[in-house]
Amino acid sequence: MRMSRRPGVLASAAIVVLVILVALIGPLIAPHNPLLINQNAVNQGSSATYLLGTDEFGRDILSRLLYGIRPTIAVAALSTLIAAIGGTALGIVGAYGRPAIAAFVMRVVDIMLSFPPILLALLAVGFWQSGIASLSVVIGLIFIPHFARVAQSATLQVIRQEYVEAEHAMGARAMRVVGRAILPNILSPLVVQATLTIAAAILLESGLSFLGLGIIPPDPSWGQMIGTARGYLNQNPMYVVWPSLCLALTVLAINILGDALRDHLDPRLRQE
Amino acid sequence: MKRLLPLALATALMSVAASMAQAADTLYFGLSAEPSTLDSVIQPGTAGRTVKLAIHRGLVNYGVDGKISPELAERYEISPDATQITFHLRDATFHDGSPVTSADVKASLERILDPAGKASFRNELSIISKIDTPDAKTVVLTLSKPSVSLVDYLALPESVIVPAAWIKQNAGNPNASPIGAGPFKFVSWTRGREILVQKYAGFYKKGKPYLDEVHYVFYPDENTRVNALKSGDVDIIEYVPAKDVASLKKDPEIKVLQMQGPFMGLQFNTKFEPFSKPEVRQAIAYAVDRSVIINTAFNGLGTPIWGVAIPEGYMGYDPAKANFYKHDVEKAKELMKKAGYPDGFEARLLATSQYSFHQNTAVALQSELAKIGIKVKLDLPDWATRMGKAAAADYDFTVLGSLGEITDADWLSNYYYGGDKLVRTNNSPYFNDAKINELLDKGRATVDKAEREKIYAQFVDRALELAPLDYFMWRDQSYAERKNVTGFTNMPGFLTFQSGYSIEDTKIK
Repeated sequence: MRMSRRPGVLASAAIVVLVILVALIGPLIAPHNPLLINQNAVNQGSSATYLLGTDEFGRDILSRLLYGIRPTIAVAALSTLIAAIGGTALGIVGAYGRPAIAAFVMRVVDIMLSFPPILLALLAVGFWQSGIASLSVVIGLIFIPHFARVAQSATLQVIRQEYVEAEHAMGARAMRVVGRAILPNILSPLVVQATLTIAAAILLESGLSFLGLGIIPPDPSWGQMIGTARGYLNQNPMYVVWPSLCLALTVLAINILGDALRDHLDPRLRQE
Repeated sequence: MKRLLPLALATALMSVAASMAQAADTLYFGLSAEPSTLDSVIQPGTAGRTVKLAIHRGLVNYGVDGKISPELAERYEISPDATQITFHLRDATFHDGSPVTSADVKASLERILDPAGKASFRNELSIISKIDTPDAKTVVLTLSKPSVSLVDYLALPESVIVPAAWIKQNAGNPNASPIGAGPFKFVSWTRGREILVQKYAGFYKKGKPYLDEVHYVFYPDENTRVNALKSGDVDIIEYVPAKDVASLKKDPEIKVLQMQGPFMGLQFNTKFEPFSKPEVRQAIAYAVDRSVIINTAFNGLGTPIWGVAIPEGYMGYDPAKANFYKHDVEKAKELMKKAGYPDGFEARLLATSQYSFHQNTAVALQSELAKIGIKVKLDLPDWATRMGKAAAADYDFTVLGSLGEITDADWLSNYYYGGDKLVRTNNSPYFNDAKINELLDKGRATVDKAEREKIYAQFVDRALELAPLDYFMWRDQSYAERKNVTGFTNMPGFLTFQSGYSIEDTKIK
């Protein structure tokens, strides 16, 4: 495969695998309890005991990073799932449904698209209690219109194909047409969209946590760690570097992988 | 065009020179928040008080030495039975040029006492039953009960004197430009940015103030505020975060004015069943290692409190009772068992994400209380929501970071008194003990100092026995200023929040 020949893609794949692995087994390899306060080791730099140093409570930064990945990944995965299911359904209705309903759905989608995501998220989180479940729902809802747009345009292309006509000619019901003929053929742009959404969701969750509206302390999350570390630039400059580096690398890797996937799945690009 | 360039340059240079000359007497003051209001009768928090104390003066105020300083009243007499106070006004004028008369004093106090008004200290001042003005320069207050603490309440920034005509005109207008008799007159309020005040040449203290203009600039983010001082954008900041004190002290351009005034503690909602039991509240006082809070949330700056938060030198302070508690987890567990919670319970702790020391105190408490089985769920909304929840007693317990409003021992009433208003900003909701109420009433009405000492000693015993509030530490409340600023004073103890008063003495080189 062409994909594997590009070193950037390979490295990105490695990072993504590592991130998923750490999210799964992080608690097993974390050297300390991420919530354990050590009042005698506040704001320390790297040492043998604390590989990446400690935060303002004397908690181990490495352990907090290893644990902090979990809410981030959980929120990203859950919200992408919600966005994918909801958005695809809406998109297919928007292309394949009755014209009046389709038009209505797509106008609503357009309205939602016109709001900046962080603003919507701020509003929604302001009304609900923050936490993994509510964050996932909020971020998922925010990305539904993006999926809906992609799904609608892909469906519009597919429904004119002969195999869809054939299903119609055989008298298939709408659900069967969607399940057998449409969905499988619009899957590849949706997969690409999903990778982009995961990266965007990670950023959005981190942004909210940075602002103090995401994961509730003392449980760690990367965005929240960056937000706190910002205040300790003088005392412990590396504190802000570690979570920022983790976040930047993860988002970059997922985006590169998403791009590679799009190149791979898009027949027009593949022919070049 | 070419010929215009030198001209333009010269003009630019001249305007720079002009602004530099002006800058010599202009001070930029970095506030920790934008005041919610400048209405003189409302306690708006430290930031708002700082501005109010530039614009207004009361009959008396707390001076920089911590004592009551005669201001618009040049002297006053308290009757021996403490039921009548006579104020003699000096020749002072308001910013509109009109003289300060007894009619203005009467109107200002009546506005505070108005049951339909919003005055924060109406309860405390409502002991005034009659205001007489025998002549334009004399005011006689008659009290319904004897009170030694009334003069202290009259010294608060919420008891300042404003013109009677202004009150009449602006009764229902919360956005009216304030007029006072203080050292600076109000010029403008640019929402979201700053409040500007200008020297009042007719101020009654000759030669004061020294500054021509003060810009009170709002910096709600603590890191931005510190950086603004370091870069010279502002000359003074309030609420220096504990974590930055050390680095600011090292900076040769900056002075840090440190003061331990406010305390950190816990208020308990006594309608939440476990917290209705004194044993549980005492267990928490024993369970919390004070140094964990001091070292984590306050970067090591603070002094532990092991009793009731009465500063040394204040009435009611007793070294023997100051160390009533100690860090003893076993004893705490015993008390929990005695209260019927051997396995602990779950509770919701309200704090705020807006002030990092509040949030960090909550995180430290959560970890300390886990050791005696209390599973703490943190509720960390923004400050305004936190205050709203506190006003509705919508919490199980909440982080308390405050101080006594006055230096007289009657400050304790605000924290411990029951009475008809059982949910207040600073008390433990629904706590109402007849004996404590009686002692506080007696203490307020007793003139004899030795007798008073005895009453407050009894009060402290009862307060320790019932522990309606727990205290953990005195925190640093620091200001920091650039080296070229002199005369600003971080006022002692509880008065640190009223340090804005010393702007009349402040100079800039």
